[in-house]
Amino acid sequence: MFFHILKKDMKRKKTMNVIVLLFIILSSMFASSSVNNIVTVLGGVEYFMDKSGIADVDYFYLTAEKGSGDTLTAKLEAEPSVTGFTKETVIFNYAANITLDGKKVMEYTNSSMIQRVGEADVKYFDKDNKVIESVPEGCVYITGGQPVNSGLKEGDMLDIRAGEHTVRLKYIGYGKDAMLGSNFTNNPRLLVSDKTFEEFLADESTRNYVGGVYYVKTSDRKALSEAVSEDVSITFDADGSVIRMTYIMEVLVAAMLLIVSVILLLVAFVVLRFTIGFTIAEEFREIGVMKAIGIKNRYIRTLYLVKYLGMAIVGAVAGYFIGIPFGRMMLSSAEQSMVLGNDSSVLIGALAALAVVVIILLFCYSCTKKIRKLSPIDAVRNGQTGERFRKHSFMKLGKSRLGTNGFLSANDVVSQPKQYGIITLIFTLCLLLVMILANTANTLASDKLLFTLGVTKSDIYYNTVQRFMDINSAKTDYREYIEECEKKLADAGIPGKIKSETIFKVPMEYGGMRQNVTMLWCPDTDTSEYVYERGTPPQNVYEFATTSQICEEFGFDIGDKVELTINGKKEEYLLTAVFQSMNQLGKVGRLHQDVPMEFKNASLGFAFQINFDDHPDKNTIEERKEKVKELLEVDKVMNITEFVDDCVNSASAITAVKNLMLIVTLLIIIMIAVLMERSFITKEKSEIALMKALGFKDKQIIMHHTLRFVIVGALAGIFSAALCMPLTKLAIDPIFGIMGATEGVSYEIVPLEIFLIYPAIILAAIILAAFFTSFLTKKVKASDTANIE
Amino acid sequence: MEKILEVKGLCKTYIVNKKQNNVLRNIDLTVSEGEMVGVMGPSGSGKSTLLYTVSGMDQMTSGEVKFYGKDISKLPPDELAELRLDEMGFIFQQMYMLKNLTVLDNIILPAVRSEKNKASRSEKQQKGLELMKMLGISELADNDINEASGGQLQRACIARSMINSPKVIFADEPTGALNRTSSEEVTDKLNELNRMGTTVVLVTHDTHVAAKCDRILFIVDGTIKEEYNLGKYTGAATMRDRERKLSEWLMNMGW
Repeated sequence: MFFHILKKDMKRKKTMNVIVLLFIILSSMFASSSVNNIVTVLGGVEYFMDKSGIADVDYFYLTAEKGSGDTLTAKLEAEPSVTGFTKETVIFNYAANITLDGKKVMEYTNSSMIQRVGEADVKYFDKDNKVIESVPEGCVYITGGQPVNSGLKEGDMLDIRAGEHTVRLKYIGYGKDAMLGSNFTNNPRLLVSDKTFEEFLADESTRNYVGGVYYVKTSDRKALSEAVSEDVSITFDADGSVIRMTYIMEVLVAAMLLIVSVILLLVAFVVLRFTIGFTIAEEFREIGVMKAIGIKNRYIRTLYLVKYLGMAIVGAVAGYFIGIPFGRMMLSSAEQSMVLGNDSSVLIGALAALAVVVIILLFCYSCTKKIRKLSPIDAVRNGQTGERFRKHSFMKLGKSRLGTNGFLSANDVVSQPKQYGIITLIFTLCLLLVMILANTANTLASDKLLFTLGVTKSDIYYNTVQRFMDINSAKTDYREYIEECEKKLADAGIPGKIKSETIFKVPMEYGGMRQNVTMLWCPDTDTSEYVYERGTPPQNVYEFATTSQICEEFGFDIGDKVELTINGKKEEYLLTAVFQSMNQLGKVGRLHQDVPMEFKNASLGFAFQINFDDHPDKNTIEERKEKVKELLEVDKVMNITEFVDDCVNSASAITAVKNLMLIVTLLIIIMIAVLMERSFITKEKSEIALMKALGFKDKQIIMHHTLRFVIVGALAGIFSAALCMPLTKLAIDPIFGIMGATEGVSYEIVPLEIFLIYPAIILAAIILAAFFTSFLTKKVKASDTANIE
Repeated sequence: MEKILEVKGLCKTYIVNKKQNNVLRNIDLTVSEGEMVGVMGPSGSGKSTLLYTVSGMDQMTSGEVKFYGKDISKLPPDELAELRLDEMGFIFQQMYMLKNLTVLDNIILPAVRSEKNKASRSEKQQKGLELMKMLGISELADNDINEASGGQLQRACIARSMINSPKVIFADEPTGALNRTSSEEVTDKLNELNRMGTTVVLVTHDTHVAAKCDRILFIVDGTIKEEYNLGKYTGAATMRDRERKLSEWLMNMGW
């Protein structure tokens, strides 16, 4: 009898059961794959570091010898706190120096490094996660995501140049590098054979580009920092936590999927709650009769629980297995740059799927409490106990200016606020999900983050690592180069000013603490042009600004005097302002433009910026990009948004997640609209029949049913539009915070996209799904009024 | 009197479990304007099916149903819907109403929906209130339907059936779910409407209700076995005699 009732239920409510099952499958699929991915990626960073042999490295240094020889090795050897270190000799390089058939094949703005493997105790891996023990003669591996993103094929013959020395090498695959291979860092290493590397080193012209990568272990980090603080050859330093943090983008994608899973779970539960509540309300007669003949509450409740347990188990198992390839697909971008390993992935996925089953059951248990309230009298009195006097109708047809369909639909929505409120909530959640992702993707691809990069607004940005290296090595004079370029622009009829931000490592001392701090400086930009969170911009050479991270680390604040060693001279500088920055994950400072910095001491250069004298519009800027490329002989010329995207390097990943989510959301919304409309038709069969008997046409009833979804869809659009900004800040600010923008950023809101296109797409999906489902009302006949219980 | 309804050779067949079930067999019937016709017969004899088929709510298998000379079996669904909306009124055994509307809104809904009814919405509302007053339920205008008793609701259903001033009212056991007092009230109202010129066709099991009709059709196994003409109901004084005659006739029919 028990199974007979269940069988009948499954058969009778086939569509609704199938949709609920689909939701359980989706929830389980997202939950198992996302939790697994998060664990894999988070644990994967440590796993990768460990496999690469750098998990216990305390400090990583990058040095540029600039022809002056290795200065850091001696300091490290002399420092008692250093318990061990290894060094890799590298030759700095840039994208333009790697060509295939004379053309540049990769687009990256950071410097790359030519080196051999096995010099330090650091392991690199090939695409199959096998350790690259050695590189065959005449071949090259390139680490990071660049080779794949650029469409480089194994077997391609690449011409690689350093200084005046060029060799032709066969590309044999991409490699994985734990220290500099994350999407955020994006410094490719060109792994070549010992012989090839020796040849590069032997060439006199490469001397200016020689540097080192140091992996240092220490018993006293503070002492080590102080010991190397005045070494000007250091261009980059980071401790293990910073290197681990650079995998934020890989974690971000997995985190986004987890957020989506949580929202999907919420949606699935709301749908379940609705379905169970609806089923129980619909079956008041059966439940009442069962109670009347003496069947206990527990037994009746078990009937429903067994049904949902069965569905939850089937859904969770199916979701778990579908989640395996789905999770792999999601991890593919992270796997490109990392060696991922998770020995307990099967268990984690299974636990997540099991959690879905348990949560669904607990949820069902709470939903079925209603059974206790139904009495035998409900069966006798058509579900009306005679005690219910809740007001149903709020609008008055006689006084309304709405058409009949409009009135009936609006009146239904306001008369059943709980039912339609749940649907509105689901649609709002779905819409918010897409909006938050769109806001994030748009912000990452806009100029909103520009201020966090320590750069001012310009018309055009261009990268030329080669030129910077020339300036850095005193081969070219910065001022001469700028003047030469400005003249070229003026001669071409597009006069403008050129400038560039430069990064210096400056020893900073305060309260007994001494450390090298990255300082931003641009001789051609007034410090008042940058954005500060608090304080006033530095007014003279003895004033500086920094981030809250540096303030916290040293324990100073605005108004305190800090000792900086600039050009070998230690002097007191006043901190006047605090700003936020994504450079060096927030650990930077800003020097006044008049501080006489020497370019030969610079560790890095930003893109060169052009501000045209005639303040051109966007279209003109786009037209001038090509011209600038030709005139200044540079490879990559960008507008402001392209420059930010190039720096943050994550807009495309988030856009991909957003597009995927838009598709998933549309599917969910369509399923919900179909499920809800079908339940309404079942529930309102007598009303539909009555309306037909009274003379309502089929199309009018279809319109009435569709309009209700138009109203809830529009309400969802309004609510999500109102909530999208605060929720975007709430969800995404912490992520930008990890990247360095701790005070929050202002988001790029594209009104057309956020307030029109996405709501329109979602609303169209809702309307179409409800419209086509409401065709089922045609099956209800006017004469059914005689057959309805 | 003009013929409002002409039915010839009406058949209705259901196929249940591959078995043919002839619910209505070759029915011939005529109803004239101003008549009040009662349809009686044992359960399952096809009374309600006859009502729903001649009113165009259900499709016939074969035969012809003319409403004022127009064959409704040939009308497309939308025209049939318009005909039901503007020319016919319906009262069901269960007091079906839209639960999210007030009693008054339920009553005026067909008028608001009607394109033929050119009155303004406030005029329609006024008419609804007048009908409610006439039926003695004016105090329920702004009430929800769950705030009214069965008898009150059935009177509201009568008011709804009258809102578009239909030519004919079809009532399917309108007093079936009511107590004796409410049943009396509802039947009296139907008689009152009939006296005002509205044709009424009603299905009933209740001899007391049927005794107030002009003519009774007795259906058995989907065919009209016989009909009995009681003549116009003139008042309560004749009721005992009408009921007695009707009961005798029904006994002869095997009731």
